[in-house]
Amino acid sequence: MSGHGLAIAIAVVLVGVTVALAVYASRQLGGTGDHYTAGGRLRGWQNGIALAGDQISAGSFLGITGAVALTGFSGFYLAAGLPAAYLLILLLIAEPLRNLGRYTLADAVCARFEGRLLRGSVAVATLIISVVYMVIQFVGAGLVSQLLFGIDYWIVVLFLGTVTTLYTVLGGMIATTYIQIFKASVLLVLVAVLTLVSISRTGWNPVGPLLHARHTLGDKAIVPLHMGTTSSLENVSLSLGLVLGFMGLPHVVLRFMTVRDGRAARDSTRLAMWIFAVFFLVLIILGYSAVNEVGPAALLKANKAGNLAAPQLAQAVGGQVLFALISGVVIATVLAVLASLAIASSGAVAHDLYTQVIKHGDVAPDRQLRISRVSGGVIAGIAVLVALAAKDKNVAFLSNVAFAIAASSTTPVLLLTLYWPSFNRAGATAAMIGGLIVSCGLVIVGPDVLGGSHLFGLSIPALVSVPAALVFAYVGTRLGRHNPRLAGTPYAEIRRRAFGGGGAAVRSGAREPAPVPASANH
Amino acid sequence: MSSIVVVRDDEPEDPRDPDAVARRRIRVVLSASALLVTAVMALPILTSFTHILDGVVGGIGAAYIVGFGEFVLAMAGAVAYCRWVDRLDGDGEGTR
Repeated sequence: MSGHGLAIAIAVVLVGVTVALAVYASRQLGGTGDHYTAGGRLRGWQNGIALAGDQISAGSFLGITGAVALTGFSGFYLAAGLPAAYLLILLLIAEPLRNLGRYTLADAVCARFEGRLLRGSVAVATLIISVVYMVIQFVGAGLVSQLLFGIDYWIVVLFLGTVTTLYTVLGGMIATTYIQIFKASVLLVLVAVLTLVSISRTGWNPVGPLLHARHTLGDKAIVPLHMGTTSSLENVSLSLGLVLGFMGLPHVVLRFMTVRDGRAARDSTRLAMWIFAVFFLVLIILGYSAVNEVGPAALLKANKAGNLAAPQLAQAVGGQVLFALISGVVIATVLAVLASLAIASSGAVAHDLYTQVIKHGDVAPDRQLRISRVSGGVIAGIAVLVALAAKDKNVAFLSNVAFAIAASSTTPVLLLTLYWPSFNRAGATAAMIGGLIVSCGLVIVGPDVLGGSHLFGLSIPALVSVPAALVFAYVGTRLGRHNPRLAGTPYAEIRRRAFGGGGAAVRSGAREPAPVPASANH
Repeated sequence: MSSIVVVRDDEPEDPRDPDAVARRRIRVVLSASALLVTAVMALPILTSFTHILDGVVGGIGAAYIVGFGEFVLAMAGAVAYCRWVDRLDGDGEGTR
């Protein structure tokens, strides 16, 4: 069998397994709660691997390896803050979200402030962030498939959009979790094999590829490059968006609503941190191995953003078999992350926008489920269209745009809801809408959209948009402080519910009453 | 307008009081988070605006060594925090 034939066979088998898992999971679906959050009964280790699976995506695997290969230390900025970002999640939101949230990110915020405008704006932010993140996965898979299978980019993107919709229709969050666990396990094994093969060529020294790159390319390959003020500000902005943005990613937030209790939420975060801390350290090694084994010219020729560095490395050090395995698992990786995003975004449409905002909670469970499944397909379709126009963007860069938008909208609102006693609905709504407009607006007038005629110099707007969101929150809270209707649920009650106040209540697995109107309970 | 953390250090806290436990947890996580964000943001600031981390130590860039150190710091922080909260939960259970 040729290399292309083998690769196609592997990809087909992996996709087949994920569809089988979705079918199996569909038999366990009992209702809306199972669809959105697996009924809140996942174990810590299950959610931990799935959470790690969300993070070790095609965007990070392809994008960080390529960025390190082409830009050296500058690529490391894409990975450096990740463990810290998840430690912040562990410290600040994992357990409170489990205790306050129900089906969506908006549920957690509206546990304190119920308001249609606020819920609607959180849902819109969820949609924007999820679609950007979906585009990243489509671009990564489309590019790899082009190189591997010789299939046109647009065909692959359309195929993935279709399978993603199938997952959403079939198995919901239970299917997504099974698929994430399967994909994360396969990807980790293959990356371990690729790493071992790579470092075997530098005397089994784990940092051998860095030393070799320095030997051939000089110190510039391993030290920070000083490229001017704009580039420096870009690095700081990128890091800020990454460290704060994770807390506001809807599909990550949703993961904490799937576990049994607060302890499971903590355990799952800690396990996920171990998995991807090792994974991202390995990506640095693979990036340098790629530049050593493939060469900068060949990497640039294959894709000018370096997105194909990992598969090219696999081909160089492991031949067609490893190349086919790595590329096949990238497709499975993409599908798994897409499934998570589809659940988060379709929940925002069906549960928040349709059921709560438009119908005031008066929607039958079956109908809400149908709306969720249909909207999952529509959202995937929109992401497909955007992906067709974003082929030449570095996928790791695109993911940082998503982080920056989250860091400027959902993250500040979520944190201030949990930790600022004086925060009110006016502040939350102002921060959500203002942060969203400023962050998206700055991306649109930035260099990656307008090119040389840009009006704002940074590709990643977090450095400006995060402080702007905080200002909106403060001003909104000040302006609304005299209106008792905007105060929401008393903070002392939220604090008790979010932080438990001891192990017994939390370990019991008993959630507080649902924060949404009774008419929406199903 | 009140500040984010409203607990006064001179107030004696009853470990059996759920509100006291919640306030203590909030105080700890906010302090730890502030330290963490400061430490993490120091890397891109130092590497972008100064030449302090431009050197090479043992064939590896000094900035990489600091970056890898942040990985270790984050993992150690996660382990320590989980142990602390598990112990706190245990104390809470013991009083119920």
